[in-house]
Amino acid sequence: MSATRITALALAALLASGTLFPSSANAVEIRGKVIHPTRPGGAADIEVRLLGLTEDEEPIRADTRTDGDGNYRFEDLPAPATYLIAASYDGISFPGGTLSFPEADSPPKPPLTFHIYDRTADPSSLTAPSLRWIVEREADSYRVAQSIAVHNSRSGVVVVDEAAAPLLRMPLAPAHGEVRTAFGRLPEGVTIRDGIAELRGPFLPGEREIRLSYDLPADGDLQTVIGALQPTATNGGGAWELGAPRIERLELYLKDFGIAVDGGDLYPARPVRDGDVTYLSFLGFELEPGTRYPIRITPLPPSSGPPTWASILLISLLAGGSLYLVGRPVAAGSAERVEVSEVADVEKRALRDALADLDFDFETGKLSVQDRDRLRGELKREAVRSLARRRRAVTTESPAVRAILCKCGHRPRPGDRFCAACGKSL
Amino acid sequence: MTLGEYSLFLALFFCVYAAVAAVISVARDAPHWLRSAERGVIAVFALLSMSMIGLWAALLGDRFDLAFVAQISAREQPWLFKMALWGGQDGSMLLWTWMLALMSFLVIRQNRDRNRRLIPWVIVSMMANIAFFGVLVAFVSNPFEALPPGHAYSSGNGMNPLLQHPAMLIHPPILYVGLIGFAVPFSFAAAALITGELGQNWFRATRRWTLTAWFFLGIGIMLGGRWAYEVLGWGGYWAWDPVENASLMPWLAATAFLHSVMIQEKRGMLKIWNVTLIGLTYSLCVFGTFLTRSGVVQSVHSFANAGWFGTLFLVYVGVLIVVFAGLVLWRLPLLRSENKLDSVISREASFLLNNYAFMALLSIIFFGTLYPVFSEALTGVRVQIGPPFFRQFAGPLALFLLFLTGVGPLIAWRRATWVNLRKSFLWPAAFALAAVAIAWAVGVRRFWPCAFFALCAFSAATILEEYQRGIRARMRRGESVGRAFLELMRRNQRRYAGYVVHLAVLLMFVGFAGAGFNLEETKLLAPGQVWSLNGYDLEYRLTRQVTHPHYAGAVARLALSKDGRPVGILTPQKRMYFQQEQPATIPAVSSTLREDFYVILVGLEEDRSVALKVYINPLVNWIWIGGFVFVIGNTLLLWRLPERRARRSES
Repeated sequence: MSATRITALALAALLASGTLFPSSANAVEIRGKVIHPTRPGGAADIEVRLLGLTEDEEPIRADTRTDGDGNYRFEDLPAPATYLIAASYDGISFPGGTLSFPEADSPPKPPLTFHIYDRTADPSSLTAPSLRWIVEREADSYRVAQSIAVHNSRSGVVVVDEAAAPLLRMPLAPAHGEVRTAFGRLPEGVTIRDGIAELRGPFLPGEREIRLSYDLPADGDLQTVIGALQPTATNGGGAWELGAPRIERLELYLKDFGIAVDGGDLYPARPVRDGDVTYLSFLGFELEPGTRYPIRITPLPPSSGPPTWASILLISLLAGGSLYLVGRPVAAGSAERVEVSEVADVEKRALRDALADLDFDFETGKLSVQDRDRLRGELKREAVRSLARRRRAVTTESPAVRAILCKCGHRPRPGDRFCAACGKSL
Repeated sequence: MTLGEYSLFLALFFCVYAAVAAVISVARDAPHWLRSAERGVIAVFALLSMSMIGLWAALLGDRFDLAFVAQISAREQPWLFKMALWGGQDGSMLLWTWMLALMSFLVIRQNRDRNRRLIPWVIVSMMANIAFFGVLVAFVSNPFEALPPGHAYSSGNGMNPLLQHPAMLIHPPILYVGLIGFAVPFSFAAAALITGELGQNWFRATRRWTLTAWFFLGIGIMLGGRWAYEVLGWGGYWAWDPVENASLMPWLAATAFLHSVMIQEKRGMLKIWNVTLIGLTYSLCVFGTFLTRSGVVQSVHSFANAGWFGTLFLVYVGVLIVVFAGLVLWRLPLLRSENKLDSVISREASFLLNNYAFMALLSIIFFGTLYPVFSEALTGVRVQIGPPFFRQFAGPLALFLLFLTGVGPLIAWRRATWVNLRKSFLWPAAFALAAVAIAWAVGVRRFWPCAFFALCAFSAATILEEYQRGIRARMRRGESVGRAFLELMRRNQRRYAGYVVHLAVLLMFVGFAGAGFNLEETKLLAPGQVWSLNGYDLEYRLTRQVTHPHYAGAVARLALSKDGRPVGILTPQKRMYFQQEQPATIPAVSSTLREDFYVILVGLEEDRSVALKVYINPLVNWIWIGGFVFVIGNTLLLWRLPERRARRSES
């Protein structure tokens, strides 16, 4: 068999295998429409790109162009995989969205429709809904994450060329280190010049957040931090000076590393916890361009009580003093003065008060003469009985009498009227 | 561990020691052990004081490495509010424990030469109380607990802004003095039951303690009402909230006790009832604290803290009740009455009725407060009972109590005659009729307010009549009117100062009766618009923004005039506190003796119009005036006048 024949047979077998043994991965389709909302027909013949990643992390790339109505279609795409669609128009990439096919036999997806816009250099539609700073102290540096959200309210893309003046300026901290970014590249339209992040767009309708992270040297001097928090090179120490546009919400988060922060006109908010880290947080609302917001950061003494040795000394003194206080009477074992039971005295006092009340009720006209005399007689008889009980109490040994001790500490015998030790009357 | 925490643990040790030493002193009849126990009490007080100083130092020194300090304090908080350690659960429990120790110390000082047979058991009881709260503070709710490393704050959350009000600086400590103060008569009652000395000693020795606790609890409740009225912005002062009820219940039980103990004092009757009442009062104090802090019932201002804290508290309340009830049952033979009721027309009979009414009121409040718990236990559904339930029952009972307030003073002890009663009630009855006629003339047509006004007038007339009769009796001895009045107050201090307290209660009831005519309206007003309401004209002028380091909000300027005459500018506010993420409504009130014009800013619209809510609360100021008179009356009651001794020698 000639080499040509063998090659022809192999090719035929290879072709046949494609139909006899189809691929295990299913083919899926993505279709949709690109719309230009302000210019009819503007979406015709637009380049649409597809970027995909299979389960095995195999990249997939495909391009197509829209038809006259803006429709596009990608066929025979492998699944399972995830796809990102974007349209390229006037040099700007417009994200269309993401579609995911988690199974080999995933059902078809509805059409993916998205918009493209014309570009403009007019920044009047831009606002900054939020400006956020997160400052943390690491072992040998301060880590700053600075982000700004830019909102474009116009139905167009605000963008300028690199040669033109930037649309927004977001100053970074002086002496900042290398700016860390995703994939090692600065976000699209961002350049850093003289410590200021210049933002030239594109800003599509809606909101875009631009986040930059960098380190600052931490030499222990808090002035470095204060300096680091200066957003412009022109303002004074420790103040934020905001450039246009107006900042609707400013958020400042400072990792709590033993500092007291006076946020000036910013509102101190509830400390924020993220895992084990506590952030002091400050909020500002509707901050006007050009206004300076002074922020004072002062170091705090370490939050702790008295030194351990002082605590131990003091507590030992307290414990020792208390033990001495309570132990002394027991150690001395001395009998101390205990007075006569007051039961009889109280009874006497009660009867006396009852008589006085009775007389007063009579004087104020609440009792008749007969009632007064009868009740007075009863009370007198009660008093006589009480006196008799009192006499018996001091001459017989009752539980109350057993407790009687003379003021000198001597315990009298039952029936004693005078103390045998000191001679005082009992 | 901080110095305060060390002191706390040492205090716990000496607390147990003092109780054991007191028991040994009784068992061995050894006075030196009792002296040692007393010194143990002093050590406990000193050590807990050190603990308090430690916590105050931590608060003033911004020790935000302690969880409690970080929770209730903030660096920029005024120092007075930093000192308010009762702003959080842990600190308030330490304060509670310290107050118990302070009271134990004072009891020991007062009774160095008195009540020696009772004192060992009083020490045991007080130390048992301190030990329970001390264990809670040390192991469950420790204010000295440090935050884990890396969790420390440079500043704290700060006290709840609503609590940063002058009334709140004194309201909790005053309330605590009231609630904790009942531990002293409770301990004396327990000691009397253990020793069998169930005569008059135990309550005579603690009369001033009982009165002081009752007075402080009353003032605490009133200050709470005043704070709610001024700060919470809902137009009222009492919402029958479980936490409010929790403080009212022991006050009612104590009020019943203060009246019924007089019957034991004068007649040797109601001994079982009196020890039961004082046991009930203190148990309700502790139970109320459990309600406030366990989260068992939902309340707008409770420290919800489920888990161990609530369980321990419940067990403690249970032990307290069981032990005390056991003691009462054991001593039943010694608690028999020495006398019987001579007549149903006597002051003791009226006091007995007064006790029934107080107990009925207390039972209703108890049932209503715990109804959600009962309903959940029985049916699985938590049913909340609102103010209408409480008002429905409390109203008639309050009327009955008002009637007794008037009747009681006019009846003699032991037995009164119908002839004397007819003579005594003539003028008060005429006053009551006149009050109804006046109320009718000014347009009051409803039964309940009319009845309240009539009975207030009736009782006020009896009090005035009492003063008039007393002065006349003194004048028969040749004294001038002024001299007779002073002598009357001096020589019958308890009785006539008590009447001042009754007068205070009547003034408060005038205020409560006014609530029947409260008016409530809501309206949206555009700038410049005038709202005419009940003779008032309220002109909305403008709203401006309020900015403050800790909150932002809006304040409305409202010009108020009455019958065409300008009254003033009212500025209700709506605030949002950033740090606590908490909104607050600050009312504006134009207050007269006749009524309060109370307005709150409900909302602000984009077109700058405002939604306002207006409450017209008639006679509400009389409640606060009543409170002021209540303070005067109690001060007179508690003031130790040398003339009382003179009266004894005279008699």
